[in-house]
Amino acid sequence: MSVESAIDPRLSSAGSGWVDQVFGWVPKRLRNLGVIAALVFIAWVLFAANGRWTLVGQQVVAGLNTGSIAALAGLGLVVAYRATGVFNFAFAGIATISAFVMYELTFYHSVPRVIAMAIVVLGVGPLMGALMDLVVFRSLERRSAGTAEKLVANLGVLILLLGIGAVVYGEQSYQPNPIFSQSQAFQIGSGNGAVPVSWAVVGDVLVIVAAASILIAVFRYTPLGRQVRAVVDRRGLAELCVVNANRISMLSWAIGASFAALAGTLDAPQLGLQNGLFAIQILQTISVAVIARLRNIGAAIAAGLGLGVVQSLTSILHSPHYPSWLTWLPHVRDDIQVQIPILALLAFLLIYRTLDEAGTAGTGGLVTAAFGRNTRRSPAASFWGGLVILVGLVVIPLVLHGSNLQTAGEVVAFAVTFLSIVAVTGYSGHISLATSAFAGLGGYVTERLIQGRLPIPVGTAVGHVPVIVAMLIGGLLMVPVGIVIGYSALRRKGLILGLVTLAFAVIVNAFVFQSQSWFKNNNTSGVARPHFFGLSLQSDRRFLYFELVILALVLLLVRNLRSGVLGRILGAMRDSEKGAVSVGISLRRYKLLIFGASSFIAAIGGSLIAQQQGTLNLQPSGPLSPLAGLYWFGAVVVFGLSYRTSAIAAATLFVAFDVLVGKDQASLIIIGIIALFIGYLPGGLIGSLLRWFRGDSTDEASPMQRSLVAYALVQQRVESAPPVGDGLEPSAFAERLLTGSRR
Amino acid sequence: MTSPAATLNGAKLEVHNLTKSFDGFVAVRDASLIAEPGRVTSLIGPNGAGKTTMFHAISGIAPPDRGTVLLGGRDLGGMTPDKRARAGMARTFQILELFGGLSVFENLQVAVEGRSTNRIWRDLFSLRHKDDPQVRARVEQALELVGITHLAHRPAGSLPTGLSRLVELARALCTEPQVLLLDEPASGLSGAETDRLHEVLSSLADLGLTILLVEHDIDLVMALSKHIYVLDFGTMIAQGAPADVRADAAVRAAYLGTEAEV
Ligand SMILES: Nc1ncnc2c1ncn2[C@@H]1O[C@H](COP(=O)(O)OP(=O)(O)OP(=O)(O)O)[C@@H](O)[C@H]1O
Ligand SMILES: [Mg+2]
Repeated sequence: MSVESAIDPRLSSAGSGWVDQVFGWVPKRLRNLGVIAALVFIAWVLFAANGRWTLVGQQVVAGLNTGSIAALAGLGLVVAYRATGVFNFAFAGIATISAFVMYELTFYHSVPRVIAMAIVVLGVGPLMGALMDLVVFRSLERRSAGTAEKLVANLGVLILLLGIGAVVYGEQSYQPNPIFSQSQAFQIGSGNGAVPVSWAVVGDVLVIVAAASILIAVFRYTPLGRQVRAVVDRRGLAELCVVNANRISMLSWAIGASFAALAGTLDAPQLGLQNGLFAIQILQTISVAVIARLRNIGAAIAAGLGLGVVQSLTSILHSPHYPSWLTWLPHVRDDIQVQIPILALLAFLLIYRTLDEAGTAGTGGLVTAAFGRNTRRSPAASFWGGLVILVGLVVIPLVLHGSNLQTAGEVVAFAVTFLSIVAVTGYSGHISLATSAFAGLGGYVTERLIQGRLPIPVGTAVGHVPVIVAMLIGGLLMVPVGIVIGYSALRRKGLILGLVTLAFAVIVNAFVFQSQSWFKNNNTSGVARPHFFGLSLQSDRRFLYFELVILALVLLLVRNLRSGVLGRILGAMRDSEKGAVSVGISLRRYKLLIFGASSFIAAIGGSLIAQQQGTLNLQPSGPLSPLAGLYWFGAVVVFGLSYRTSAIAAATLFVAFDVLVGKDQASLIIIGIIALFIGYLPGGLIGSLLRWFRGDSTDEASPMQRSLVAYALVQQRVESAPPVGDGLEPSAFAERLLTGSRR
Repeated sequence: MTSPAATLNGAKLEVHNLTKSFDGFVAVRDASLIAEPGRVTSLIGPNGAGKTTMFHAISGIAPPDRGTVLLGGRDLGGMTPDKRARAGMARTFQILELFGGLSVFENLQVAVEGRSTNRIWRDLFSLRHKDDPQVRARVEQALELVGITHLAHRPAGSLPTGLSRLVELARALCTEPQVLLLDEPASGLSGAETDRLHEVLSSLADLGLTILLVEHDIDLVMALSKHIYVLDFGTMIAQGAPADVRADAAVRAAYLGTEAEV
């Protein structure tokens, strides 16, 4: 009997064989399934290879190459996450900017590749990481900000970096030279069956091995490394011992950023370098970190290499004999191969249900309560207020001219779309990054129906459908899709839900928007504006009126999600799910309802965007790309998730600022910068402004209480943490937690 | 004190052989208890004994690995927590689970309304949302019963812990419960508030409600309960009337060094 089990009879000594040590991160019920899946895949490959061993060998080598880069990026994510508790979305931005700097150095300034690489990986990358820590996350940490605030600040870094990339480098695609020569280094085997290995592969793999070894060596053998490891292993405990937390976290950010920079510079020659596009490809290596449950460094390396090899081997699995009803499948197969990382991401997110998340996963801090909602406005005030708005709505389109009208029209279309974010995240507390997918699908359905085709791959012709009807159908069709996504939200919140929805957006983009069989004609297609009872809404001014009517209706719908019984129920659910179920509220019903409603709104918005622009643009870097969903989320958060006005304000900034400055995506820089400081703006710009006017204070807990609660939340498995004001001294409290928890 | 109704429909709560483990760590092993209508039954034990875990298992928030939960003879096994709540199980939380963004009044309102879907679709598509006067009356009753009418329009997120616990109690009462599970309702309460709580709980029990109480304030437990269960390291080590439990040797051993006296 171990010491522990002598203390507490409930503790059985857990399995300690090497299998448990190595695969401890895999949930037990999954291990067998994983082994079976691996065996089936290997058998399938062997069968399909049919003696072409050279091919298999080549694919494995190629897979190891791409896989090692992914492993590297994933490694950086895991290290940064474990040490700082922040999931570093910005790593994609760091990788992109690093790749651009590398390109700049080697191409324009003829710096030798090795030196340029050293500058980027050891200088620029870590500097960005350290700056992130210094400017943003240190103060968030000191204020014991919630997970959601850190997530948004991090998203802000991504948006800012990509905004800078967009303003400086635009939409062009650059082709950096490979770092290592493509010529053959050596071959495995000899004669006909030899597998050639290029210097590029050797170089990439060596760099990864070196980077990983340095990381491991630093971790193992230096005092600093031990401290990082302490933080990585047991955040709470290490914080209690007050290891120099600032130094550790800065170091971790720098290491994470350096790895991102390395991955970016190595990947850019292979993928081509186009600002948003490159970032979204890098972003897919999230799957590596997720498969490792954001926890296990070895697992991250294995997952990266494994995914790379599987992805590359898939190209062997090719059968030319598809039955006729599956004729669209070959495209799908190609898509699948490219999208294996993101499909794996979605699959594992759905299997895991929770990541090893630190802290609460809600939207605390972002969606601060709209305190004082009870003070009802007087009827007279509402009447006059309403009248002013109404007159404004009638007059504004009259005074605008030319391109200003178009800008206004675009603002309104985006405002409608953004309202879906207010509904799903602001009112019910679910982080959804898939708004762009719903908007795009809404636009897609509208476009197909207007063209007289069904919105499916082999779109058989139907009669012409009027625009308004097509738009409505698009909205209604997205309700069940939204409900399906809502199912994933039944047991997920926060980061993991954000990742699920992001994966969904990427998958929709890859399999629908970019797929030949769903959408021919180079991803853009003309979309007409409505005719209404013989009245053409073709002119910009008339169309703006039409949009304003839609906006008013959607505002009303969203308002109804906020008030009355439904509003109270959604608010209750957002503030405390346990509390809500304890009074008999069915989470399933209302989560699905809110996801359905917000998908409807997003689809209507997407349809309006398409009608406004006159084309449906589903280009991978277009206005409805997965990255756009991230930008939109950031824009709404910046103004305040729980206010309808913030959708309008965010749309105005998002659209009008770019027009004003004359640079596409310039607004991203503003949005990114404000998002960095979201920790100081509880409730966003609008929320803070309102609070300032009303003179309310943000929270009543002292910093000590806040940090105690934060600590309790870190230890959230221990349900026995006492609430604030319990009268327990910090030391006694910590002692109790530490003896109470044996994790 | 005005009572919400002449009688409350308490129902007998039976828990049989409940076991709950986390990753091989058995937090509650084979524990059984019975709470009769019309009286307060208490569950005590040192920190980490598994009391909250047991509450979560009974209310369905963290369903047990094994064991049955019967309310008024009806098996609640496999039911989601919201369904259990609609079946008459109400509870409060050791770590507060109030709806911080709503006012106290709204917290209670949602507890009255949240169980039915009557008004949802109407509310979604209508222009005006008027509060149901019957609901308001119920809420006002509950506020008055617990003695927090003056807090009605405060944002729930801004209240100190003690008052928040009272709001949770009032909220639980708004769901027309048959059994009330209270997880440390007195922690964070002032002396006067504790007295008030004492008064409320005993009158609720007198009215016929079933109350299962987890509490570290031993004086309160001894004064209120008719029957006490003692949990230690996840197993029931004793049960009986307050005087018997106080005298029990195993209980004294379990508490030695953690709680000053029993
Ligand atoms: N979700 C969880 N995962 C792992 N262990 C848990 C979890 N919840 C509780 N435990 C463990 O189960 C044991 C019982 O915890 P529980 O919260 O039920 O105790 P308690 O009797 O309510 O204590 P207290 O009086 O401090 O509230 C503790 O050791 C705790 O660490
Ligand atoms: Mg407890």
